[in-house]
Amino acid sequence: MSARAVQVLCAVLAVACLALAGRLQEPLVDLASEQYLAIAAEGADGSAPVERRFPISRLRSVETRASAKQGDAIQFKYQGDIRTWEGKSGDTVRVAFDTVGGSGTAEGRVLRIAGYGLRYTDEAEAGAPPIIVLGTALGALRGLIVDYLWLKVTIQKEKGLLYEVMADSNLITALQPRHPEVWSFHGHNMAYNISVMTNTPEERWAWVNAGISLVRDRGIRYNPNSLLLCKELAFWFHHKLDGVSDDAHLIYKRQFAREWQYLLGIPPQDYELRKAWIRAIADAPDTLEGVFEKVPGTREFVADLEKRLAALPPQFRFAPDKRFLILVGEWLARQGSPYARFLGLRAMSEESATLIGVLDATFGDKSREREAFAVLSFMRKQVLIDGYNMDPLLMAKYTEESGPLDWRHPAAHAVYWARRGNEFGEHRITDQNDVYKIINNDRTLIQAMQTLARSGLVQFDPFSGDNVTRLNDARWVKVIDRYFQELYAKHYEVRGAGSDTFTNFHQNFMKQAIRELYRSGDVQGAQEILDRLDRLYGTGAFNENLMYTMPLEQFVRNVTFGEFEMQPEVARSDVFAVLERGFREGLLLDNQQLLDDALKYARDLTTYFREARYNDFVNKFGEGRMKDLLGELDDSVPAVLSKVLLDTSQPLLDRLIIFRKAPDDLRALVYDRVRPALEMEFESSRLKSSGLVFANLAPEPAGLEQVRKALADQAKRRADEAEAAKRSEAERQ
Amino acid sequence: MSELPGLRQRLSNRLADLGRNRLFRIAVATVFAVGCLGTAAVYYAEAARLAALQQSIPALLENIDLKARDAVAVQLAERGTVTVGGVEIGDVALAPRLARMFEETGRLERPYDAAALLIGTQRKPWLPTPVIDDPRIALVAGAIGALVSLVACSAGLAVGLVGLAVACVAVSGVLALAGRSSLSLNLVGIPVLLFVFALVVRVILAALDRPTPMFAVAGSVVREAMRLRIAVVFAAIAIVTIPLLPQFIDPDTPLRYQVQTFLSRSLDTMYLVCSLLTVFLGCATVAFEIRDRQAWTTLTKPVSRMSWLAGKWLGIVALNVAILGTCTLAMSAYLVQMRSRVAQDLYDFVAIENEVLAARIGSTPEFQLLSPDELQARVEADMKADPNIQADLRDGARSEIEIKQTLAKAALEKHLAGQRTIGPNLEKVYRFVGLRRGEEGETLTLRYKFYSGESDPNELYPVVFVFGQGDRQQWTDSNFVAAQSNVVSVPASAIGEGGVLEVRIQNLKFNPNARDGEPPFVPGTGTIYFDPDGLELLHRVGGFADNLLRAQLVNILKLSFLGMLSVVSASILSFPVACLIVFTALGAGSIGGFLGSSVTEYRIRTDSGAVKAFEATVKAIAGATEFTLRAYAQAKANGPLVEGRLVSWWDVGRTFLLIGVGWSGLLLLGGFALFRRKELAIYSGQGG
Repeated sequence: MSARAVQVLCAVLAVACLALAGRLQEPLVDLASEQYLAIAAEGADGSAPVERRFPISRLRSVETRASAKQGDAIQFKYQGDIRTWEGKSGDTVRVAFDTVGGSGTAEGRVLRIAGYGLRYTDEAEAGAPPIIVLGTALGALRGLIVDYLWLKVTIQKEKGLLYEVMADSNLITALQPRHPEVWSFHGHNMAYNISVMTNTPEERWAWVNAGISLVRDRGIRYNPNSLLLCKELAFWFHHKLDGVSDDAHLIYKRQFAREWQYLLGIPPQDYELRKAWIRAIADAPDTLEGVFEKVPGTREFVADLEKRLAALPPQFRFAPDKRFLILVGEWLARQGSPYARFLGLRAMSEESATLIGVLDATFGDKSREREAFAVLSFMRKQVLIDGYNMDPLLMAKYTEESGPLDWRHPAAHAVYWARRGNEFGEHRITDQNDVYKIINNDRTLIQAMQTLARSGLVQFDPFSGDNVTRLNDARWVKVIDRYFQELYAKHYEVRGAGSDTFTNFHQNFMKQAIRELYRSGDVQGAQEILDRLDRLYGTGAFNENLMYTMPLEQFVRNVTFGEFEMQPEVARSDVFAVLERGFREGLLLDNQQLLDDALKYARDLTTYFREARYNDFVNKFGEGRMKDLLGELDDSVPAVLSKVLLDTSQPLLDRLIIFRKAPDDLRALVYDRVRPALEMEFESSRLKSSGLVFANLAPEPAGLEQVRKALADQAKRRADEAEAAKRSEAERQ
Repeated sequence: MSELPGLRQRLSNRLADLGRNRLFRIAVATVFAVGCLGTAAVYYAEAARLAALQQSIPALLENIDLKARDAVAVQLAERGTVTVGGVEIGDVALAPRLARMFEETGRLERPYDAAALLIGTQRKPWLPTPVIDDPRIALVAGAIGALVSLVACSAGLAVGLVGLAVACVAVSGVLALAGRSSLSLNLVGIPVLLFVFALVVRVILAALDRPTPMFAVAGSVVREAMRLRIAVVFAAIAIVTIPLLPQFIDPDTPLRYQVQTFLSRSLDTMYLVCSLLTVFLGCATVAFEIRDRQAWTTLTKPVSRMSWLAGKWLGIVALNVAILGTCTLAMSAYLVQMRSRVAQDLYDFVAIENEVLAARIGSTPEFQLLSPDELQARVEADMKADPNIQADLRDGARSEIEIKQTLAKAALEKHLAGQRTIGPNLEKVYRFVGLRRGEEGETLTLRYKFYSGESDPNELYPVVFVFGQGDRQQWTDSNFVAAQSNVVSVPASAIGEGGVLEVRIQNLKFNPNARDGEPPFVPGTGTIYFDPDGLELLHRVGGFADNLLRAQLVNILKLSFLGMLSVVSASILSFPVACLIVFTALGAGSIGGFLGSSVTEYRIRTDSGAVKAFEATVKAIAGATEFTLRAYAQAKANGPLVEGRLVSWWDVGRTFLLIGVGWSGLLLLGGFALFRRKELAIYSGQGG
């Protein structure tokens, strides 16, 4: 009997436990589920509000429409912890969220945020490619298969058997989407290995772009907080696109600039205006409905646009996607392109002509400029988020905090991704042995800033067929100086060299920056930097020295010229670089001061060497090393001007403008040297077919005959001197 | 409901009767054969027409002159067409583009490109590219189709053939209407190939139909596999997978990569399927027959144990031949489809013929060795120069011979390494001998794996190659990724007399934009060096079809060994244990290369005695396994085939002798020695 009683008791207990578990199951699942935001949304047809739950992982934006007077404070992060919402329960919000088919919006009062987020999502496959279902079904075998694939791709890559590396890497990314190294490997393989096996620069660009897109558009989506991927991406932008080691780098820069000019248009030069420009995109509504609500008249604008485009094939129809944005971007670029005007570029087909007409009538209608701008900003925002996985809010933030980022420049993207890695990936590096990853990322960032300082001013005409013009942007100098201070403080406690790994960079860069700022006229800025250098590396350094205590002008002269004592050949390259910049920027950007400073610098340096004590040094072979150098310096101005005018990596139109704006005496000096090559280039360029005449673009300068005579006399004089030197040598022997 | 089975039965009987009807079989065979040959003729005619245009149009365009208002040139520039044999070829939409191809002199800049544009307008979408390149493929395919039809009908599969045709038309029609024509091509192939498999099995059964015990047992294995659907399922896995593979291969990658991926995946799939079939069927057919006492019944008859084992093995090999043969046919057919895809550029297209669908052998350059006198002189000089060596000699720490051996080895290595090192602004000359003179337009491939400096994977390093000598000399500059294999094409015309190719490798960077006064070549960035196998010249010695045949023979031999292992293991062990052994052998053999590298690199880094002993045991077992199965692992066929390397008859012969005869024979003898002692059943003598 007692056994029976125990059996009955156990059965009763079991039933009771089951019942209790059953009742507890729903709240437990609810609590353990992914975090969600619960709002009381208006029912259809104004019926009583119903509770709707939106998983945090699916939210795109949360906009507070009205704040409640009282309520529990609520704060949460969404969009991969990029955005934060803070408010109270009872606040009225409008949420935009992802759905299976696309996106949706809802409005209502905030009730609560719940779920302990014990798992990222209720669905194992959320945010992952469809084939992840296969990976999930494989269960434990997935690890073995992935191991096998990794070994295989590594061995195949070493053997150069890239055919299966591509296919197997795709499979690994499908089976292990949340493993950043996979994406890094795959992207690097495409951008660096496979690209060099192609045979045309365009194909090479396609592969480089594909590698970058893979990591940016997919890898980082699945691993939003991966510092590794952000750093790798930043490095590829900086090294592969912006570097010069690849033969096809000019193509990369051209294609990249074209794409981003079509996407975002030409950014304003002025820094404040540029901040406002990108902020306008960041603050655009997240949905078309939002645009319609925010800017009156946009609904009619879009309806008109759709109606006009209805007659065209589907590829020209309106949609807030990359395809249509590129069409509009190209139309916009055409409006502002001198080449397009010169050449009278027409549409290549009847459909394109119709599209241009439609865009002229809508986006080109001055009376609807506001509506057009609102729709364009919205499209740009959508495309940045959906097509490029870039957050306009971050773009705006980094522009405001860092400096004037021109998104047509690859280094701007390097800055974006490196900073994004810092912001969202750094906190995940907890092991001190991995701190080098953070340092490497910071190094990539500061190097990208340096690049922007050297070439951040971008000028580009997509219709010219010419390369991108990139000029110095001194606005980045102070940014770098400020960022260095942040880095120094950040890595001060890091073992090993720590923050000192950045000091050489800082010191060298700032020395150049002092000269740059001084020559560009920002004496106060130059002096501030000099003072700081003194505090850090001069009298304030561990080994005190007086290197930075001298007056600014003397510093610029002494330090610069002093280097030349040690390496006189550096003088040649330095003078040439200064003159080149003076001609290109001074004449192209109408900065006369810059040109005058450059010419003065060349003269001063020549004088310095002429008066130097070792000027007459002749080595045991009878070579007058410094004399040769002096000769080159004497000839530096016309030589550099010729070089600038004949540099085919720069747009022909720019060079002709430089020639036209150069002083008469300089033009006369170089006219005979450059005219044949320039004329030949002009004959085969698009400018000729526009009806322009070379003689009008590059007319004979005044005083040409006198210059020719003077040059002839000089040449004869030099020949006589050389002959005399030979005779005296022979006599000596 | 009870009527349905009866109706089905009656229908089945009717169809069976029809299938046996001689007239019906003749009619079906005739219709299908005529259909196949007729279709082939249409394809051939169209392909031949295009091939003729490919010959005639470039010749026509070679010497035209627009400035002289040549009629052909004018027609080309204004109407975008040419007239060949009274037929106008081209399209008016091409006119602007063709007009731009004329130079200022009035001649056509690139007549072949212009011809390609014109001929492109004539190309029918249903005509695959390989058929255009070689119209005979159509005739061969037609002949095979006709033959299959005839064999099928004679083997009693006429009704099946008609049903198959109806099903294919239905499926392709539906998909074509849905706009998925390329998918229909893939799906239609599946039932066709299953039918071919069934046909092949029938042929095999007919071949095994001999009055000998061994063949009888083999035939029964095949019938058993078909009856139990084992073979059908495994075959179906491969036959369904291979036609669908093209749908999963990214069309945006270079075409040569797509073709290689397709070949690799197809070969791996069919080999894996056959391996699994071999293991499961081989172990099951023996183990279960022994378990169920069927073997005892069979072996009481005049069927010797040796014949029984051999027959089981032969049956499995026959099935493997059927599956492998059918899958190879499938792979070849869909290879034609793959090759019709768009290539990235001309180089990509040419690379398929020259580098992928080819049989190439690799030659390494001749390195100069030290003569004995030179070696001796160096060793003696090193001995004299090194005071440590002198001290060792004096102290007797090392003997003179030992020292000389060490120094000689180092001197030889240093001498060879020096030949594989090229400093900046320097060059080295390498000779490849034993080559055959190539045809016009043919290219060879130079595969190289260089190191330079820190061999940064993100950097490109410059190098210049000069091929040949005298007026045959050609050069090219390249940028390579260090520590990774790179390839460069070598024109066959650079091969000199006697089949010698001289390759000069210059550590220089070429600047194509150098202006007057600027040197076009500047020194490279660092010293280039490479391993002994880091420079290889791949040259074509045969075609893909022969290579495929040899590769599949190697695979059959490897599978036959697996089959023997399965049969022998199952004859003395239980089914699960036998499977485990064979799977282990299969796995270890498949990863043999990787296993060997792992064993070499395995380091025991622990001070704990127990752990050290354990790891030493692991290493010993792994090493012994790798050593045992090394020959199996080295008998690779799929990899070389996909890489376009030769699988020679020597490889086939060696595999045959070593694995086919040697290992399998030994296994058979050993297995027989154990099996003959095994009691297959015990007679209890109880009666009743």
